[in-house]
Amino acid sequence: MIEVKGLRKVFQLSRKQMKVNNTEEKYKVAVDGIDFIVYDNEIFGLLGPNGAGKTTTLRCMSTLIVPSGGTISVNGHDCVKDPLEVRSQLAFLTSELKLDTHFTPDYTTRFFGKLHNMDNNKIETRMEYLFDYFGVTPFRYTKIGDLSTGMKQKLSIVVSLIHDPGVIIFDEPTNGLDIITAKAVTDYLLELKAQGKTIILSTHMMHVAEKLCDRIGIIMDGKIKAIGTLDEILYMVKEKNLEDAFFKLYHQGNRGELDA
Amino acid sequence: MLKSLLLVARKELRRVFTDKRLVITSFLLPMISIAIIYSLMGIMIGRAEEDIKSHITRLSGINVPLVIQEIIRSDQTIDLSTQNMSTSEAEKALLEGEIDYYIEFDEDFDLKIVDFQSGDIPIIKGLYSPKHDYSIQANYKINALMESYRHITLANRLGDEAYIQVYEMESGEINIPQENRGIDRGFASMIPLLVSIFIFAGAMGIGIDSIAGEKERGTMASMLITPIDRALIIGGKILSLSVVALISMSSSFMGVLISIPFSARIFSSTGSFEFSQLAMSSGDLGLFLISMIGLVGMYVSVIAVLSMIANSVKEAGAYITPAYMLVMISGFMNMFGSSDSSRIFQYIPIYNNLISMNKILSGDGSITLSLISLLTSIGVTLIMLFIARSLIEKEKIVFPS
Ligand SMILES: Nc1ncnc2c1ncn2[C@@H]1O[C@H](COP(=O)(O)OP(=O)(O)O)[C@@H](O)[C@H]1O
Ligand SMILES: [Mg+2]
Repeated sequence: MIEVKGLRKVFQLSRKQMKVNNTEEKYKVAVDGIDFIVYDNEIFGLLGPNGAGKTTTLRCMSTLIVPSGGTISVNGHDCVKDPLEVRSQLAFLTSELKLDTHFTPDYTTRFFGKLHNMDNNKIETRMEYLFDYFGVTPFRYTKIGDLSTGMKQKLSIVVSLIHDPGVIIFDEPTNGLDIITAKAVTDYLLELKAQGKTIILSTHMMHVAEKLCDRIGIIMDGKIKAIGTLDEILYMVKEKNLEDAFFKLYHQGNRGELDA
Repeated sequence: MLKSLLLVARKELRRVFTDKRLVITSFLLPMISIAIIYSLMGIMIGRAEEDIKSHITRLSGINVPLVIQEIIRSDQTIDLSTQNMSTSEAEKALLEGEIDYYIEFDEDFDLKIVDFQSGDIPIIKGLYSPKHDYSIQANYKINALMESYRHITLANRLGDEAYIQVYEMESGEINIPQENRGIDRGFASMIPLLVSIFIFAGAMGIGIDSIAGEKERGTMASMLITPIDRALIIGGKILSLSVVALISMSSSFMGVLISIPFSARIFSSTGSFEFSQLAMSSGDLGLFLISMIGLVGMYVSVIAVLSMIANSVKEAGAYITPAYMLVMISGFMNMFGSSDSSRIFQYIPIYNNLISMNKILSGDGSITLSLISLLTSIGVTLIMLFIARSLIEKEKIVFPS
C-alpha cells in the first residue's frame, strides 16, 4: 500500500527557467498538497493535463526528488527516511531515465541486478524470463546504441523490473511508443497486475486511464480534483463519460481561478 | 559497501577500456603525439645546432693583416672571401645574411702593433647581426680567434709564453655519495611538471564524461533509483577515475621515454642520456610514488566535484579549464623556480608535491617534506570527497531538470 499525505513540491526557479516560463515568480508550486492511497494489487492512474504535477508526484514517490512537504510511504517505508528500502521495493519507469548506449543489454541488465543486491542465479533466471517475454534475447549482445527505439524501450522496462519489485511506477507508459509497442506495454501492465503487483501510472490520455485503471485521481494544477473508480468519478461529477467529467473539472478550476 | 563501490568502479573502467574510441583518444593518441612532438623537437633542435656548427663563416674584411689572414686560413670553418666592402655595404650584406661577419682593421695596424710603446693602440671594428644565428656564432668565433692573436702578440712582446700564463688553476668536482646523486638534473626538473600535467589531462576528459556526461545523458538517474548508497556511485566513479589517471599518465610518460633517443638533448642537462640514469633507489621510488598518488587523489576529486556542479559536458569543461591552468602554472613555477623550498611553500598543496618530487629526483628527497605533502594531499582529497558526498545528495545536482 502506498500512502501520499499532503504532498507538496515547490521548485526554486533558476533565472533561465523564469525566462522560459515567462514569470517573475521565484518559486513554482508543482504539487500543492495532495493526498491519495494506492491499495495493493490495483492499477492507480494519475490523469491530468501537461504541467499538472504528475511527473513531480511520481518522482517524489520513487525518491528521485525530495518533497517540500507532506509524506509518502511505500509498504510502510517512508520515502525520505528510508529511501534505500523504498527503492528496492519499487520500479520507476520513465523515458527520462536512459541506459548507456555503449553496453549490451546482457551486461546492463546484470549490472542493474547487482545494484539491486541480487545474486547471480537470481539475475540469470529473472533475465532469461524478461528477455524472452520482451523479445530482447536475439539482441542481448548487441550494443544498446544499435537497437531500435522500440527495443530500447523494452530493454528499459526489463532493466527496471529486474529485481521483481512489488510496486511499479510508470510515468506516461505509452507516450511516444508506436501502436504495437504501446499495446505490448499495456498488456504487460495487466499481466503485472495479474501477478499481484501494485501499479501507479500517470497519463494525459483518457482512454488509457479508462481502460487500464482500477482507480483514477484527476490532477490539475498541482491539486487532486477528483478521485475514485471511473463510476465513482462519473457519479460525483454527474457526467456520462470520463472526457466530459475531465473537462467539467477543468473548466471549474479555471473559473475558480478567474473568480479569485 | 565495498562490493557496491567496486561494482560501480568496475563498470566505469569497463566503459572506458572497452570503448575503442576512448582508448585511442585518451591513451594511445597522447602517447604517440607526445613521442612524436618531443622527438621532432629534439631532432629539429639538434639539426639547427649541427647546421650552425658545420656552417662555414663568411667573413668580409678590410685591411686584414697577413698574420691574421694566416690564422684565419688555418681555421677551416672561416672563409675570408671578400676584402673590399665598405662599412655601409657590409651592414646591408649582414642584414640580408649574405655575410656573417665584417671586420675592419686600421690601415697601419701592423705598424702600431710593432710600435706599441708609442701608446697608439690600433683599432679593430667588428660587425655582426644579432638577428642571424650564423652571425651570432661568427661573433663568438672571431672574438676567440682575435683573443688567440692577442696571446701570440703578448707572448712575442714578453719573450716567453710562460709570462702571460700568470697562474694555473685546477678545479675539481666533489665526490657526491651514491644516494645523493639523483637522476639527470634536466630530467629531475622536468618530470614533476610532466607527471602533474599528464595526470590532470588524463583524468579530465574521462572524468567530465563519466559525471557531467552521465548527468546530461540521463544515465546517472537510472542508477539513482536503485538501492545503492549515492555516495558509492560517486565514490566508484572517483576510484575508477584514479586508475584511469594513473594509466593515462603512464602512457603519456611512455611517450616521453620513447622520444628520448631523439629528445635527450632538450631534456637532459648534459645533452646525452641513458636510461640507466633514471634509476632510483627503492626508497626514493616509494617517496616519489607517494607524491604522485597524492596528486592523483587531489586532481581526480577536484575534477569530480567540478563535473558534478556542472549540468552539461560543456559547462564542466568551462569549470575545469581554470583548474588545469593552475596545475600548469604550479608545474612551471616548480620547474623554473629556485629549489628553495621555504617554509610556506612546503604547506601549499599540489606545489609541495611537486617540490617533493623534484627533490627526490635530485637526490635530496626528504621524508619530512614527503610526509607534509602526503598529509596536505590527503586533506585536500578528503575535503573534496566530503563536498562530493554532500553534493550527490542534492537533487538539483544529481537530477537537474
Ligand atoms: N525541476 C523543476 N524545476 C522547476 N520547475 C519544475 C521542475 N520540474 C517540474 N517543474 C514544473 O512543475 C510543474 C509540474 O510539472 P510536471 O510534474 O512535470 O507535470 P506533468 O508531468 O503533469 O506534465 C510544471 O509547471 C513544470 O514546469
Ligand atoms: Mg510528465
